[in-house]
Amino acid sequence: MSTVSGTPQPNALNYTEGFYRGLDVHVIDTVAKLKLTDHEVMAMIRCPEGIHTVEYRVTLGDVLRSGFTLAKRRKVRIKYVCLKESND
Amino acid sequence: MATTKTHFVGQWDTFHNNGPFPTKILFETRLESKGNMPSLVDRYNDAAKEVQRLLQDSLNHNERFRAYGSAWSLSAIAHQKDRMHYNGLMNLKIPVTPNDLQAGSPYRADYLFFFECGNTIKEISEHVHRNGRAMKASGASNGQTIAGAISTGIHGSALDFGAVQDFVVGINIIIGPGPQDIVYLERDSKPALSAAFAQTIHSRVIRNDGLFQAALVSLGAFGFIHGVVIDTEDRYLLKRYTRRIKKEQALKLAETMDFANSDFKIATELDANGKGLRPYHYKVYINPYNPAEDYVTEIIYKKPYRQSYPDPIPTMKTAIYKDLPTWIAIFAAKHNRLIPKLIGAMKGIIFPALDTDIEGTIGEIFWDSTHRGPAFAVTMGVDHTQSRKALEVFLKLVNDEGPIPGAVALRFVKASQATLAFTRFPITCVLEMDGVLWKGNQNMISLEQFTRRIAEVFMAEGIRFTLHWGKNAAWNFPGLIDYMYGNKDDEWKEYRSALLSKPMADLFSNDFVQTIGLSDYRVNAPATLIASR
Repeated sequence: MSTVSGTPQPNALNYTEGFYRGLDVHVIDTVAKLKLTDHEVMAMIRCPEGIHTVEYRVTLGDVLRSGFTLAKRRKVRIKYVCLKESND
Repeated sequence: MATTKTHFVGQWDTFHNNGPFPTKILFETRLESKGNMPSLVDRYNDAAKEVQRLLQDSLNHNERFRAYGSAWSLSAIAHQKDRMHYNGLMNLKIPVTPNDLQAGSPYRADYLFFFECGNTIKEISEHVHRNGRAMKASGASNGQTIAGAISTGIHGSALDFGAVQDFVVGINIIIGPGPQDIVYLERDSKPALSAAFAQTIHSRVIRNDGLFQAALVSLGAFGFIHGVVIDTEDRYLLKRYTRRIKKEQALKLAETMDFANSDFKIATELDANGKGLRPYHYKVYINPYNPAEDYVTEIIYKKPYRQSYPDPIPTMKTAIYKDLPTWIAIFAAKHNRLIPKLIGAMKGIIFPALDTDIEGTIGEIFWDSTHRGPAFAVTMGVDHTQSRKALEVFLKLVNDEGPIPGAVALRFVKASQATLAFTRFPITCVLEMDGVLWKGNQNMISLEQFTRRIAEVFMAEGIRFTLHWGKNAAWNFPGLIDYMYGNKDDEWKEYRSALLSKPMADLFSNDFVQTIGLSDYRVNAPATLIASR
């Protein structure tokens, strides 16, 4: 998901092919361990002026892991790009 | 204080994968935070000081220095093998107040904006829109930084306005590390900001039409463009139509620009006498491998702004830069005879969808594009009255010596006043071929051979032409610069030599500028040439 307005934070050293080329990409790739009383996962991200793009991925393995652990071990794969600081 | 990270990169590449090019160092300057330095002007001056420090350091190490922004150019114009400076994070936006205006200025303060070099076209478009204004022109997309856009002359297709550099009315350039080495340039015939404003950005003012015009399209060789002042206009909407157009109608329009008497009409864009209105933008898409096929046109009319209109983004998202898939490059290298069939089969993907009518602001119509793999683009400028002949010659070359994996288009732009603007004809027909970057082999002409043949064939046919500075071309072709610009390149060199000291002129040169023969320094360039008038 990308916002229609706003400019993504650039990264001159990112030579990835495709959409993320030249952008400052942050990745969250972790397994969240939930306590018995927890029901949801909250990933904290730091974007001073908001988010430009978010990509969330789920694989079959992730679904199976969640199923086998009664949703207490959840794989979180998020890629995001912040909005460029506007400096106005 | 603004800070600079030094990356020992070894190599650097463009956004469109036209490299990699060897590069020792990449500098990346970040502004001081707003919390630590609330004044925009203080932060701007602080950044200028940091750039001057880097220039002094480069001089001390006898190394060249070149600033760049989004790296969108496909030529090597942005590249420097010693030190490159990424300025995409330097994006201050400084408001202009009535007190900042020079007495007698033809401009209105509420239409002027001061932007630091690293602001992209999209940032500028959105910022001026939030302030009730609109840019006068744009490139086909919006990711270029303003300094890069004007330095390479990006053009868009504003028939009766011109290219992006044509709405710039002031340029702030750092030409060296000393206290007198920050200059603010304007036209003397159309001054914009006062000397008092220039003092706040620690600059000395030079009002000189010739110097300003030379520095507008500077190829990065006039110094570090730190900021620009742009003139805007009231917000407006652009109504975009896509239609099939008969080949003959399209070419007649290209040659005459006579939309009133053309057989091609958009029913909703006629005057009271039923004559066609003059559009803001006229573009023609051409399949180079099917001479019998009619063309597709994208034709855009300017409309008064209104707040409520259907969202154009879902359409534009699929309309801009509909590049060919990258696998075609690999396929084409092995089976180049099949390229025409592929282009024919994929024209629904490459060309915009027909009979689509949408409306949006300039920022929405010339919207985002993303990286889709290695790309090439050959872009020539010819006088629009010669567009039929130029197209004929170009298509013959593509068919006789190709085929190559790309599609052809024509756009039309009013002449720029910039000395080395490639949009230099009264109305320039921009003849372009875009596609996927391929490698030549014994079966297929290489991009280098193809661009060389373009120069040879056009010169042999006696067609005056120019080449887009940021696109692929045979830049080392003998006599190219003189053929394209006559004595204008000498004028440009004179102004550059008068403005810069010899060591700084060398520091701001690169292989590209050297290759095309624009790096030589005129020791005797008169200082009066750049006197403020």
